Amino acid sequence: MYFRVIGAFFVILASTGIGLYFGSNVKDRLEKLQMLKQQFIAIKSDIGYSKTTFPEAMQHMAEKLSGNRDCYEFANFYEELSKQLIERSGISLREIWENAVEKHLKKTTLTASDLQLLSSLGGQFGGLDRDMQLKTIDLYLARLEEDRILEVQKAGEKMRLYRTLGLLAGAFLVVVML
Amino acid sequence: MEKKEEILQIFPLRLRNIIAHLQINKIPIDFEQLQEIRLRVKGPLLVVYKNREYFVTENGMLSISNHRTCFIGKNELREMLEYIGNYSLYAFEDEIRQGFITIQGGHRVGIAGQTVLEAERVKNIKHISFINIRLSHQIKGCADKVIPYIIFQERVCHTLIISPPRCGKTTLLRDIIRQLSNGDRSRCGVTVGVVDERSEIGACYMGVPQNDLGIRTDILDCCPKADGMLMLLRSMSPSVIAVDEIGQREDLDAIEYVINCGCQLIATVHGSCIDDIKLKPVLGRMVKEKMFERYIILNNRESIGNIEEIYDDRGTLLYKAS
Repeated sequence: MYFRVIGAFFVILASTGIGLYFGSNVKDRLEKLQMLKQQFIAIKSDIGYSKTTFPEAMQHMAEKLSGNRDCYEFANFYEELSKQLIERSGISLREIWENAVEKHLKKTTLTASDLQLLSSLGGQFGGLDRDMQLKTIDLYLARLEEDRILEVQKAGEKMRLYRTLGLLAGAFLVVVML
Repeated sequence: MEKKEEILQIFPLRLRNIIAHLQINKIPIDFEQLQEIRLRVKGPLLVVYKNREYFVTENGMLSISNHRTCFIGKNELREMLEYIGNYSLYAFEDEIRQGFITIQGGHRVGIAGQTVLEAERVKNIKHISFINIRLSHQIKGCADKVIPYIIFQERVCHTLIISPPRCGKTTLLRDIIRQLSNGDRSRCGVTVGVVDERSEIGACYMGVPQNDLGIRTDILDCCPKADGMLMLLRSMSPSVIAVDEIGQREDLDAIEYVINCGCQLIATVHGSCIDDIKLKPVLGRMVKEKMFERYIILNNRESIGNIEEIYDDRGTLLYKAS
């Protein structure tokens, strides 16, 4: 009996932990969306104000984020983009962008739709018109902000749900096993 | 980065392979002697090597006949533009409007296509179908001959380098700047300010010059000449200001200001002799008013940057090529 109680305790602890983990992912995604927003505001300013080329803007962003442990995936993403673009390996900007998103951001808490939105941005860069480039970033920022606001509204509810579900799932398992 | 690599990286892979292995009579060419590469959509790949134009075959051989010539596809030119513009053509709007982009290494890429007009002025160029790459050369020591003529009583004279296109005036100007800036055993170096409107003199990449312009040289990169000369004068107190390809009306005011401030000026202009310059509305006045003290006239008869004649402000011949 003694072992059963200890076992039940650990099952409930583990499932609650899983619930908390999923809850924290919601919070982390919100932070990542906020980071992306700040990064693209800086990129927009770099392109708009200093007419910086795309590889340079990516390099500036990688340098800015390097050393920041919370943003290392983004730093790697921009670093990779800058490196590939400077190499001119015969691959189009769209492909380079999509590959970098896939390689560095897929394992983050950003959802598939966040990554899809970011991936689609690559195909719209590199044009002749600077205003068009800036408006493209503006549109992306607007979409990002919409998603973020939506997520903020749902975040509290989702986090509570994950926590409760974790606990209840543990309790249910204990009941079934006992 | 070597010149060959600087050039190769703007080409699509197929052309990159061909140009990397250019040969003449089965001997690899000397890239230092390559002057121009011309590409036209659905046209042959042409190069100017040692002052002579050649067709390029699919296997990279230079040929004077157009048999088995390499032709350029529309997509290849589009891809090339992406590389030339660093995937950021928006950053080169002003340059495209003028018809050329300067790439890393100071090489000038001329472009032509369909112009987009706004209020009867060229706003942009679209459907770019013609590209001409002019390779920049850094020949240290090419100004050795002219330095004794432009320094008079330990003072640098106001100098105008006159030359038709492709005769090496920018190359000569670059070496004059380097030599004046570094100085030598017999003469101290002077502070030189360079207004590099097209990034051809210093070939700055992210603000750092890729060409050697000397240890006392400050460069204002991508800046309009007239504004740049005044900015340098106020901010960097140069002894000598160097600019490439003067000729606009606004340049005249800035040059007058520079000369009257006790700063020496070294400039280049397109032309083939002093009489050519006298016919130009803006520069003609400068010549008549004896603003310049030395005129260096170049040609490319024997080699690029061949000095034909040097005159002083009164029109006295100081040097003539034998």
